Amino acid sequence: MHNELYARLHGALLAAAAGDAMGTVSEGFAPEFLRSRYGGYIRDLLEPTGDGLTINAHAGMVSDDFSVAYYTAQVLLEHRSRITTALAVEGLRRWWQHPEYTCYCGPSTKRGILKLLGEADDGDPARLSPTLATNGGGMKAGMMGLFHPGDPEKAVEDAITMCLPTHSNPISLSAACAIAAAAARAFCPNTGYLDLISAGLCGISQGLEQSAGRTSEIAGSSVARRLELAVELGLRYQGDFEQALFQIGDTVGAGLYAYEAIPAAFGILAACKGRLMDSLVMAVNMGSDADSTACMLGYVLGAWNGDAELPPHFSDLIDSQNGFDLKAMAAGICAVVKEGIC
Amino acid sequence: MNALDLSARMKRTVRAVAAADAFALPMLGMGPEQIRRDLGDGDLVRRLCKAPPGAVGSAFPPGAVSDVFAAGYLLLRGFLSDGGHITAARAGRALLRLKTDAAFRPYFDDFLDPVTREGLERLDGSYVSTRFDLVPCDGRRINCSAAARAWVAGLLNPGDPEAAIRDAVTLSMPTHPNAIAISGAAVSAALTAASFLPGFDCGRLYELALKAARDGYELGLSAAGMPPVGAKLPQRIELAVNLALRYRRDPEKLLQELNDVVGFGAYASEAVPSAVGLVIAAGGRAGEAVRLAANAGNCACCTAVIAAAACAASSPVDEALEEHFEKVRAAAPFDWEPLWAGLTAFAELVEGGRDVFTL
Amino acid sequence: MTDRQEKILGGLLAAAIGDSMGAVTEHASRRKLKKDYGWVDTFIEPHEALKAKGHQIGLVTDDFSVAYYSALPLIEHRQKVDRELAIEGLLRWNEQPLYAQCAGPTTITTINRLRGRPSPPSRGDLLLCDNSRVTNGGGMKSGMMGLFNPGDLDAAIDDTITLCGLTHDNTIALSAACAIAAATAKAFCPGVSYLDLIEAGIYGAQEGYARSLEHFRPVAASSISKRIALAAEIGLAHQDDLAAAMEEIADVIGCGLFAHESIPAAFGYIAAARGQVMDSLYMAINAGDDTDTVACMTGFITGAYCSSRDLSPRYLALIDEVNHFDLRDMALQIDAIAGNTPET
Repeated sequence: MHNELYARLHGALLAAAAGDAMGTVSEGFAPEFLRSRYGGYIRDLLEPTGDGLTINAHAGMVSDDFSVAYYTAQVLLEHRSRITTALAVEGLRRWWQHPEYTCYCGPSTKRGILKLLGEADDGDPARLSPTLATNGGGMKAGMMGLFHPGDPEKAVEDAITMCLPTHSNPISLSAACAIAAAAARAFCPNTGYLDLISAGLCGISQGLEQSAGRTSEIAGSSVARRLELAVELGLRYQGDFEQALFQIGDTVGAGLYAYEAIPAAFGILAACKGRLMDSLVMAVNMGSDADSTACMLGYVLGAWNGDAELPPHFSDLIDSQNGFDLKAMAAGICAVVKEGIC
Repeated sequence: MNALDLSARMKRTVRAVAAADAFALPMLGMGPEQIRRDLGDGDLVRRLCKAPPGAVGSAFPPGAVSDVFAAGYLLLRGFLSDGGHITAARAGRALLRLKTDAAFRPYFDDFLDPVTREGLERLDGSYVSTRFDLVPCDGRRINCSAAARAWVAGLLNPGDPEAAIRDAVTLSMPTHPNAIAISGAAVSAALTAASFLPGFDCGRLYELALKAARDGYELGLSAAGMPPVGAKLPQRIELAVNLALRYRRDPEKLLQELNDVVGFGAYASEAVPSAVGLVIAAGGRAGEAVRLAANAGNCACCTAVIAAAACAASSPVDEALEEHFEKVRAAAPFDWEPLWAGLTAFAELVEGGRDVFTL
Repeated sequence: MTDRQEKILGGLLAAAIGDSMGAVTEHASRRKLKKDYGWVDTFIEPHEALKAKGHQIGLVTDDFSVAYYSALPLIEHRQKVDRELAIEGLLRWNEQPLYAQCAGPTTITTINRLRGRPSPPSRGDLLLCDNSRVTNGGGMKSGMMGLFNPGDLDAAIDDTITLCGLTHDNTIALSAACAIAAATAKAFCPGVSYLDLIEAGIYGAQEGYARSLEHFRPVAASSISKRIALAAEIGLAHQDDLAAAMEEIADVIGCGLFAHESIPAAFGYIAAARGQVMDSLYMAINAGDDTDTVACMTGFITGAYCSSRDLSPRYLALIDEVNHFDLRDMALQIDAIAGNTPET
């Protein structure tokens, strides 16, 4: 049991980091452009070219997506505590010390962090601007699924606590809860890939219910409805990888809004029947906000599949390039879960 | 269609567009449920109203328009001064007046979207390059503001959707050299142009929207020279039209579904297909289409303007729209008489020189 | 003829063409039809089995004939339908030797009952929900009610419930019948598009269901309105390839006897064919299964939409001759009885 839990936790961490790192190479590009540049699909950790959105120096480096969650998890493990608002903020503060990642942070996170650090925020928080409905919540909330393996409800609660400081709108939050819930569900026995999808949808409705009254209303599409649409497309094109990739990307989108990237992730999951590498490859090669989509998929499917499927050189490369120790983190999460701390 | 009829319809379209922009402005940035609750008292908003505190439009009096109409007006006046010919250079000069002309500067300061803003900076040489300019794919310029101005290209090609699409490409390039944005502009221009054709019904409108989205995308790809990054229009148009068929008689459900699935946000792949869906749900009646679009919220001014232009010429005169326009006329500093005179002259030119009314 | 009269004639003639052309392809599978004929787009020689039953080219079957005979008493009495006239029409139809042998199961039961020789009670009669009766037999004649109420969807729906409720006394069969009637009525509205016809069908299905809840038998079956929307979605997505549209609609929606197949399928064909009358009929005819009924229902709608100007005069002559009809005269008579077409 311990070994299996550890393997799934490590699988999730490694896959999420790998998805982010693979995706930083393709972020901001169009899928047809990527195909022609790379002569096929990107399937490995590559050196970024100089003309992308990322300015990572080396193959294997993650971006803001995984790093925010990593440092937040580190804080939780040190305090041996379930997440609280204060610890979530401390996680952000610790992450803010790493310019190699903070240079990528999305508009919502930056706005929130500057506010939290007491620096002037030039935006009026009461403004009903839809540009805040980004996926910055979803990209870190998968970690909360790992802290509550097999307990999607607790994962959703913690996802809300984690994301409220920077993403206090129902769209971003509900998307974050979808990923957290699906990641948590992935640890349950007898879970099929359709169960992961339905866990995601439950996470959304639960998340909306629980966060009501604590969020500002915002204009934007429904994460749940777009997720259903993406999954419909994914299921329809299960037999055709390329078609699935283009149809999901063209119809749903895979951009930085929470009602694009998170639905796209579930659509990819459906198209690939939950296979880990195939899903990461589809997300990475869909371009747009590829690193976020792949990172989120990594949490869910790394937990569901375990770490066996990932290329052997990924672990050392990611650890060394980022100064991480994912094995130790997995062991740490395993320990706090076993002790019932969270 | 003789010159008199043509010019009357063209003016009706301009008035409808201005009215649509003004009517939708208070609802900018809100969601449909929120609008129904806070502005409509549980129903659709039907009268020009004031935006609630904190909303994007709260600083403006009823009847104020946004940059959407202001930009369209400047473009139209610019092109009419040269027989209605659309060139990229003239488009750029017209749009720059938003920045340089004191009377129009408030639209630049208060409303203008970041994509158009950056486009103007490139035009006047004040743009500072960033590393994002090195990326050989463009995911930044996929919003709907080019589409929201492209009705001008349709208006100046009445009855000729093919020519309107080509002119929409030209019109968009100075600020939106992006195939997705141009795809949206092509849809708006084509529908506006086709609204002058007799027998242009909702079925033809749906087919033309799809065709214009595809043709506009291809033309935009060649013109922009790099692939765009983002969701595309044709599939969204299909989704929107199918939702319109299902929920035509239930406006609340229609707006919620369109919002939830297609979206009413700033992406061209949201606002434009949703506008098409609303026009079809409204049975091609401009007043109803505008009402639905405004009550959809979010990027409401763009959606409402696109919807109005797509069917005003083929709709009977709508009393509510005409009433809203009178408020616009009272509130905003536009020169209407020269504009009407320009349209009259243009209509005579068209009748004399072009045989466009074949279907 | 006036515009409206030409549209009424169009509805009558296209329905009759659909029924008679489809009679030869009825019950066949799509694959067999494709193998034997390629794409049927004309009157073809009936096969031996059909000939043995007395069928000849141009002869309509129960589908159009029951609608035709339902209309005769209305024309003779110069009024809209009521229950007595509905009964009269049905019984007169049953007296025609040409059609007596092809009544559908639901219709036959009612006729026997009306003639005072009710069938021995079957298990179905004892059931609260007799789901075997959710057939398209109402839909095949309700298009006629659309012609009698040009432009007036609500009146077409009410008349349909009166006419078809006699034989198809359950909520979903009536929902389906009202969809056809409403769409046919809508075809007369000024400036209407084929999308409007589909939407009218959805409205008719919803209203037909709601209005029949109180007095008619409940049944379990799919939602006609939602299936119409689904079929239309498929049709719209395949406008450039009618054969592919037909395949997809036949596969996903079905085109058999049951109401929740054939009525939605008709709307799928209308969407794919952009409302064009002959194209929409060909799709129905080549789809196999209950081809004549689906084609008949489709024909009422697209025939009224396109009018008789889009239909071949040779076909009119053939149908009139073989069936001893005078469809042109019928159209004029219906037009005289129908009220003013509403403005919207």
